[in-house]
Amino acid sequence: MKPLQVRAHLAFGIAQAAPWGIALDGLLASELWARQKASCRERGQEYVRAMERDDPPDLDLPLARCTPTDGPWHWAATCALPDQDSGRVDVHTWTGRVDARALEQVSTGLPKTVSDRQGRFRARRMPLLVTPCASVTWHAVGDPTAIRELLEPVVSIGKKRSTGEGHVLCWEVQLAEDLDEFTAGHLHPDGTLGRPCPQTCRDRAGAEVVDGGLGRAGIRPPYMHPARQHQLALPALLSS
Amino acid sequence: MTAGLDVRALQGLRASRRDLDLIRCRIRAHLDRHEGYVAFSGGKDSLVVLDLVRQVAPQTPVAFFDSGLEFPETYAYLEQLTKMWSLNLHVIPARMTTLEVLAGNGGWDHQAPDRPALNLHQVLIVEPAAAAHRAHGPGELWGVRAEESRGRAAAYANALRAVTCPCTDTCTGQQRRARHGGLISRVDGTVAYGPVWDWHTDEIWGHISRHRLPVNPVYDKLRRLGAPEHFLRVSGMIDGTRLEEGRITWLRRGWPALFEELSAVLPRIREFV
Repeated sequence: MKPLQVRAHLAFGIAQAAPWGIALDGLLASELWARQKASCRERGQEYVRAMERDDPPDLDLPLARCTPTDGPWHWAATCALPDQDSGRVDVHTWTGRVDARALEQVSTGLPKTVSDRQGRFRARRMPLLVTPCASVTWHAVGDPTAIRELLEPVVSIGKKRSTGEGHVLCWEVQLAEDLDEFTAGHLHPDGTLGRPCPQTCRDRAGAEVVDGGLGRAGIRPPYMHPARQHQLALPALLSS
Repeated sequence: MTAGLDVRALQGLRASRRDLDLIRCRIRAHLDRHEGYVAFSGGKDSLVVLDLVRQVAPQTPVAFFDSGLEFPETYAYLEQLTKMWSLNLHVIPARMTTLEVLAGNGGWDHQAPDRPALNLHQVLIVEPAAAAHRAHGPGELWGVRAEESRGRAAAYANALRAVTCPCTDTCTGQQRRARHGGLISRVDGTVAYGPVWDWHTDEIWGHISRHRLPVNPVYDKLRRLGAPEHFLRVSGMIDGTRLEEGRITWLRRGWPALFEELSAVLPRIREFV
């Protein structure tokens, strides 16, 4: 396990909802999880979604673990930081409406009309916040070969990938020998706090390190699972 | 953005086309006749109304209906404004917070059973307003504008149509709107007057800029995040409306920790990001 710098070269930017970038451990876990699902299907076995388990499993990521004396452990990897900070966000729009034909197929009885103006099937016209940038960078402590192997098949990252957002042109994984393990596991290239972490890690980073305040957040994948939510120091917020 | 290109600053340089003296007279008359209070939400419209009312009767009670789910900045702003303007503020908490009502009906959690839903408008507006009327009288001054929704426009139009005008024949069109518009009499005997009922959004910002009124910082934050004009709303973080237009997207981006707290209680809000 070595300090690393991982970079995704992007076609035009990345769409993300949170005010910080995508977590590298989350990306790697999703790729491993997809492989695990495919393997279960191949063997004809059923699998239970991680979000539906009381205690979701920790996949064996090719990353080092940070195990603070006080607080939950986490993977030694940061969230993405845009390399070109334009200080603005592009607001794209996505729309969605219920597919009546699909409803007919999945339901035994439908009302005469399914309104797209009210109720839970109403049509959506949603903003999509896109950070325009040519590349994003992560810091991590891990196995560069295994990380590269997991990331190579990932062709897009962020939200709304199926409509072309977050298209990845190429991946770059290189050793960052000038970084110590704590810095590589916790701080962005610009020196700000790079991931949600327990207060112990936050204190170790130093008071001068900019963060996003304290708040409830996920500590490791699956980030949205209630069992993974803790009161943590949040990563530095994007500039817009 | 430089000051020269700030549209709001430019709007403030233009003279108002409204007859503010007439509006102030109508406020005075409304308070003399019905007494009552100013309903202040912390938003831009009620700020302009509050400013106009203060010019006429600075000690008019100001009622803030606390939904329990206002932006944290709104509470701080309210405190500052009360101090700065020596407001006669009365905070009226709803008997249940927005979060309790939303979480209680089960609709925000796929795993929870559906339960009979309380009417949010009843709990957050009707009941606190009734309490304010009991304390201060049947009159109400509010920042509700016709432009905000068809329902509001219809309510004002119907009320104006129903007015029996004691004026001369000259009281028509624009004059009639200015002299008699904005007044809504309810069946329970309460009477609401909206001094800015037919103002456009740019007139509201123009008044704020012209008089350098202290604005709720939530507006600036939402604007910085890229929220369009119609999403610059500060009343309540979430109430079930405009979700399909992305209301939660701005909350998620600007208040990430609060979003996580809310999603622990209302898991389905993640579907609206």
